Amino acid sequence: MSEPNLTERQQKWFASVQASLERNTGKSLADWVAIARTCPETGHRARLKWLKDNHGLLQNHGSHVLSEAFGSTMSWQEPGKLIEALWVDPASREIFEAIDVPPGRRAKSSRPLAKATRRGRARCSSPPRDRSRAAS
Amino acid sequence: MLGLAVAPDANPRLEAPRNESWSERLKARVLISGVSEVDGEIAALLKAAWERS
Repeated sequence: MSEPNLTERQQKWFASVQASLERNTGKSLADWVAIARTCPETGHRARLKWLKDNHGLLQNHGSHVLSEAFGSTMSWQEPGKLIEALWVDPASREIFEAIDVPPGRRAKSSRPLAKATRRGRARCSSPPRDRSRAAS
Repeated sequence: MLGLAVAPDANPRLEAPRNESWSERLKARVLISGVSEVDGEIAALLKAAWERS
């Protein structure tokens, strides 16, 4: 995984996935990447299914191989794209925008925060700020 | 569903997480079904979580 911003726990998890992939299949990650690149499919789910159907690779191992072979279409370095992809449902997006308020603009009373946040904000340009350490 | 790095007993609206895939640091969760539920209590909980993270 070349993705930055992984926690130590996440790094350990991906390392364990890779170790078990190689241990269980007898093939290295590089071998699997070469196999994955022969996949005729273009979508992530279709590629996962192809790996499972043709090579018996299950979800975690398949995802790890695909990540290495094709990379991610989105990165934590482009938080706006991540937000757009994640918060598609308008009602859910409204809740997200109400929560994703800079601390200085946060309401001090119990009144809803949404009114103060729905107007004039371009929150998609902001990275998952420090708040990402506190909530998800 | 909002996961927060605060203890579940910090607010009656919070409950302990079950099998969420998020970080183990997030000790509580709150279900928010509408924007009207994002109020001062949620703001205070977010602030508390931020301060202890």
